[in-house]
Amino acid sequence: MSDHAPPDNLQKPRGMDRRSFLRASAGATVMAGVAAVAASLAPLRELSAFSSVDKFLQSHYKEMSPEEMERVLKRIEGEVAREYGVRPHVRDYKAMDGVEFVYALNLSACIGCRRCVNACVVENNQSGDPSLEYIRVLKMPNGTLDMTQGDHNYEPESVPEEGFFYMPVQCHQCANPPCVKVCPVNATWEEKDGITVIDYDWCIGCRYCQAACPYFARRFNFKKPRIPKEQLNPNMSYLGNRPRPAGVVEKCHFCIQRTRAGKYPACLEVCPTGARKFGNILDPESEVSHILKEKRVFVLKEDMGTLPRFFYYMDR
Amino acid sequence: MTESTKTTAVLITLAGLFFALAIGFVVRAWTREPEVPVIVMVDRKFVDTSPVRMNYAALLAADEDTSDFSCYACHRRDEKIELEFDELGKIIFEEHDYITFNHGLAYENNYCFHCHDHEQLDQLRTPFRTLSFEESNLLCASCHGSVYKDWERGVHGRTSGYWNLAMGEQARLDCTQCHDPHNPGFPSLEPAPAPNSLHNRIIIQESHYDE
Repeated sequence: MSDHAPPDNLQKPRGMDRRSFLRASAGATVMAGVAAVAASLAPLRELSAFSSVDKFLQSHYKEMSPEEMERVLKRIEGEVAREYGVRPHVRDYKAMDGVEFVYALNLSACIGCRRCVNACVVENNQSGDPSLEYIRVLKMPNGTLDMTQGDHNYEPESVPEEGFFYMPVQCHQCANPPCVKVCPVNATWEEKDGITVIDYDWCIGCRYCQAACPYFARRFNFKKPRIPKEQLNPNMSYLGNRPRPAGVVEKCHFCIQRTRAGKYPACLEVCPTGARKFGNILDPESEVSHILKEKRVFVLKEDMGTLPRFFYYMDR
Repeated sequence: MTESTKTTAVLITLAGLFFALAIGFVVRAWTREPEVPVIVMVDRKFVDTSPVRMNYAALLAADEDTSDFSCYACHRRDEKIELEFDELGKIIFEEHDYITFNHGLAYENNYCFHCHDHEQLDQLRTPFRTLSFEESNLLCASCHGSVYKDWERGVHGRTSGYWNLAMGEQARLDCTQCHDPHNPGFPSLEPAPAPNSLHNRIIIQESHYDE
């Protein structure tokens, strides 16, 4: 520094003046900002909801024209084929006229073997990780229907165990469904054949329905469901067993892809004791009509006023 | 090196560092992929829809060994069989000791020829007529009438196929495809695994709130 320099307080700061320091540090700050924004946006690459514009712009199930539904089914088939390497057949089964489904379960016959739970998992493409099941089998001590005494974690060598009976619980397809009333976006509704369905592409994942259900029937996909490729059931339906995205609610739909094609649900076919009965209550000759007429039938939590289409009975 | 160039150098270094960080974040240079857990497959034996046992008609249909039912491979046609009982009234089996006999309360139905014909061993009998092994349902019906009526309507026993008979066929199992006629109680089965216990463990840990 020169001897002729102005007094210290007027001297230029050593090294760099204020303006160029600010300019340079602004550059660094912008750089840091870019880095932060890039980092914060990185998880967007995993966002699947906006993977296709078609899906984002898709209408509600009830407002879809047949042509749009055709396009949507093709799109879903493509998505599944890309992800699982299996070309599925996705259909939109409509409710039949003159049919109202009812389920009846014989508590005297059920031995609690959980075959129904697993057949349901395989038929309906339920997630293996995290594992998700529609049916819960409660082991109850004889002489009570107090649900708080039920245990669903029993794992003995063999069933049935002395002194207990077994009570499978799944969606009761209520005629007065509390889950439908609370849905803020109409993503779940009751069809005319009695099945309460969910449009997985319309569900916003608020889980109000899950809280409203008194039967613990609804399940939420906290993570993207993972289905083993070898176990994928290629016979799929839009409202039924097509693979679900993360963040939506799902539940038993009486195997819509089977029952609307005239077949029995998977849980019924696998039941080794014949405890499960299913059919059209509007047909006076159906099994369920006979059961409702002749057996001692009851519904679970009748006082809730949900009017279930799922009946329990005992005949011994 | 002047102070000015030193500061510039530091700022350029910092900017470069931030830039490198940005690239690092985007390409995830130091992110380890989380370990993907193996998906638990459903054990095929728990989704098997076949009946719990084979009866004569099913063995015939499957073209399997029915030698157990050919009585006259060992017995003579003119032979009159005498049964022996122990002090509890249970039959002492000699050849047919694989049979567990537990039909009826307190061994009341403890006599082979309540159901098998005494003269024609390869026939079954009701008080009114003889039946072949394939007609065993009618033999069961001769005592268990109300259950048989339920079975006819599909209320008792297993069904499979179509609930809607206009769309397809329905299959119904015979009595002896679930019940061993000598020991008709439904057999015990191994239960499928309990639901994923992840949540339950959390509930168990929280249960000290009750104390």
